[in-house]
Amino acid sequence: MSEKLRHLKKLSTIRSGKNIKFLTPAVYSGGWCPMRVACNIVEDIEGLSYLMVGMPECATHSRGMNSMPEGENGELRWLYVLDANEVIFGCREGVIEALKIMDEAGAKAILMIATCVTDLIGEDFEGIISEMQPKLNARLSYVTLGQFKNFGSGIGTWKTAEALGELMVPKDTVPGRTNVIFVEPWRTKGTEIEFPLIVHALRKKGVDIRNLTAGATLDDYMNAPDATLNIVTTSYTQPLAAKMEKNFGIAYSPLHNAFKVSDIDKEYADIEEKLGISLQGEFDDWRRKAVELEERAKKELSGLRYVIMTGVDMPVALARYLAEFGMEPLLINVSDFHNEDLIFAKELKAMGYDPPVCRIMHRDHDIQIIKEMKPDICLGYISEPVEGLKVAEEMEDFFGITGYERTVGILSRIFTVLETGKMGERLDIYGPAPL
Amino acid sequence: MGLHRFKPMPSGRMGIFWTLAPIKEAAVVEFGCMGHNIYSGAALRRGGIYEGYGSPLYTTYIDETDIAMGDSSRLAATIKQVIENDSPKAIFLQPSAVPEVVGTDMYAISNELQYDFPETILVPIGHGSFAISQHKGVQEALTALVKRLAKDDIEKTVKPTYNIIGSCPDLFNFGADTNEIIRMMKGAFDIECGCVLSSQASVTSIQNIGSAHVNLVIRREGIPAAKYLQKKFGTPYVYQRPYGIKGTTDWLINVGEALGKEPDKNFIAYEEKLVRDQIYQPRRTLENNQWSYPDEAVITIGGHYDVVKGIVNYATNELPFYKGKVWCNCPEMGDEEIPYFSEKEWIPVVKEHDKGYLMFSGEALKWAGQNTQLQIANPDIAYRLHPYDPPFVGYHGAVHLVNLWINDYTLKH
Repeated sequence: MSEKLRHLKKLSTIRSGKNIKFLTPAVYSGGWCPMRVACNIVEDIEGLSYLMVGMPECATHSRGMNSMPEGENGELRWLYVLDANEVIFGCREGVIEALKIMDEAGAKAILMIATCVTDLIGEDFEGIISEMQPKLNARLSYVTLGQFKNFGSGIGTWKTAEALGELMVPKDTVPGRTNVIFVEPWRTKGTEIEFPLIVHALRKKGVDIRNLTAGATLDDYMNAPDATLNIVTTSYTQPLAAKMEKNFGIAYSPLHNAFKVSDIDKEYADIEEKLGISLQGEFDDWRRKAVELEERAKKELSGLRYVIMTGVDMPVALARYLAEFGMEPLLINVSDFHNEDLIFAKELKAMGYDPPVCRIMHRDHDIQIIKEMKPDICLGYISEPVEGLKVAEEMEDFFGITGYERTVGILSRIFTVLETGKMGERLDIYGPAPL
Repeated sequence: MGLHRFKPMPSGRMGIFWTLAPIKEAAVVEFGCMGHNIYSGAALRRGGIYEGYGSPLYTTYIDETDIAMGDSSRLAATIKQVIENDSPKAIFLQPSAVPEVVGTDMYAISNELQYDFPETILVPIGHGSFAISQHKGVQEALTALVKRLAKDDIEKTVKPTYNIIGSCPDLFNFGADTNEIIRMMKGAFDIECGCVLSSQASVTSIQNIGSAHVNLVIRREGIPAAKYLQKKFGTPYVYQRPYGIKGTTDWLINVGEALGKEPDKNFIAYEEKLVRDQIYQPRRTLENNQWSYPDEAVITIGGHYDVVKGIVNYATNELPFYKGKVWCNCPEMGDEEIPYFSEKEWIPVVKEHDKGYLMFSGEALKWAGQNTQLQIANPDIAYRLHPYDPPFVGYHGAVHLVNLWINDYTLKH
């Protein structure tokens, strides 16, 4: 291992995000704060209010340049800023007063979002909810997101999604109703959400789909426990699905982890069984193309060495998939380590791969270290082209996409970059499969 | 600070960070969590402090173990990398909120690390405390910069020069206002600026700050720095923001007295006449409106104390306006003339405003459905990428303000 990687831990030794070292120490210029992620998610949910509890820095940066304190439907996006006294003695009384005011102002449900200092002083939000919930009309939930223990946007998203689960109440099951869970913080409001093809296929089959996504309403979340099935499209939303399974007995399909054609087949068969439908013939062309590319990958990708950089969703699961073709990971950037990653890491090791993992915090500087490793290909974000480095960029295209179409997209991109050094055109998953 | 609907008064840490960010030949290293750095960096870029303009903005991150163990080794490692990457003359060190809570002593750490990095000046800047506002933070940064960086053994420049103290990115329209001051100093005295602290400063220009003949303090946060320079180098200072025609001429006369040199009378005469000619017709319209509808000729204004005071004086002393509600956005600055308004106090003023001219933050004006062209304070709601916007100060500012007011009048009539 290169001297510059010697401080990094091997994937097999990682148990949580805490153990992951930076590739180089200087952070330029900071990573996304999980608080901002939470605020963005709530701002996209019609009817849900938030109370951000933190310092002036948090309050100032919790909002975008044009965010207003009230939403179009009366949602409150209010800020509770701790003073010097509260930093020492806690902010319980002040927060309780703020909740009363928000309740009187008509908030239907309030998510309290606690940031670094509030998390550090250990303010007891569960206690606040226990005391105040019986006295208020608004439903309450909270999420604590001190960045010192919640590294980035991924963990901010999944913890916020889990906190939304706390707003849910038991409901009678509606047979066949299916929630598609795709909570994401960065969607521009009003833009169309790109769902995987399975969602459209299920709709076509008459399945009653509820989107728990940007643009969903508070009522959608509160009523979500009436579903028969949850479909998970990203690792960020798996914890919410697991919570709903535990609390309400709703099974979920973890489509996000299925890259391999045979795994996708299994997941789709499982969905067919649970919903009592047939998806026969719905994805034939995409499946055929995915099989063809997997066959080609076995022949052509074996022995190729690669680096996963920033901007790649589920890097450990992806590395596990690429190991099927004998691709060797030299280094993996892992921003947020999911519990599910423990399984993939173990499987990777069993297949003979145990790469160092890191967090790339100064992309323009660190790219030179990656170049020195002489990978055959890199996957992930790059700000400027680097001579001699083949990079499959814009891997975020596949965020929230699952199924055969994602497999086709990823493998096609790898082949195109290896052949031409360029990305090629963006795959249109709603068009015909590129047979 | 309690419950807020709008962005609250920024912290001292934020004021410090924004003051340091534009300085060239330096780097900023913030010890702590990353959110403040990335979002403040983005806000600065929106405000014209683009990538590569001043100090690169680094942070270290801090995790639970660092907090529990009091481990600051990330800071040393980051400084080492920053020196290798950028070779800055100085590195400004600042704690974020979490190290401040756990009592990290940035001064002690800096003193220790200075031995390891003798070629680079490490400048710890404090006031991460939780009772310190943005304005105190700006003041602290400006003072610390001159105390720590100004060279002792320096002679005055042969040809007179001046410094501007207090041009910082937290002040709305800081770039345009500073450029107008530089233009007027050239026109009236034919002299060059040595250091614009901090929006156009470099480490070298701050090191040479004692060589100037006069310091122009354009916001009260710069007074302690100017007093220090007066004591250290005998440099006189003028504390004033020049607004309006007469206000600007008075300011030039005051600067001339401090410099021991009269401003160029031809320059002043030319500039004054030009402004009067340019605003002649709108002024008549505004005068007529004041005569017929005095309740419409009211200026309601909130923002930085010095900005509010200057604009109100111009509007009421030189133009046909009456003073309405006026307030400042810093509790330490408020007085009887211009009191401090918290959001509880300014919300009804802004919300119920229906006649006259309302000048305040972009955030509040937008929220209230008021004319956002009359923004004179932050929080901002727009990008300010180029530095060539018209100023509020100086002769050009006098025209610009009338332009804004007559356009607002036109919108409503």
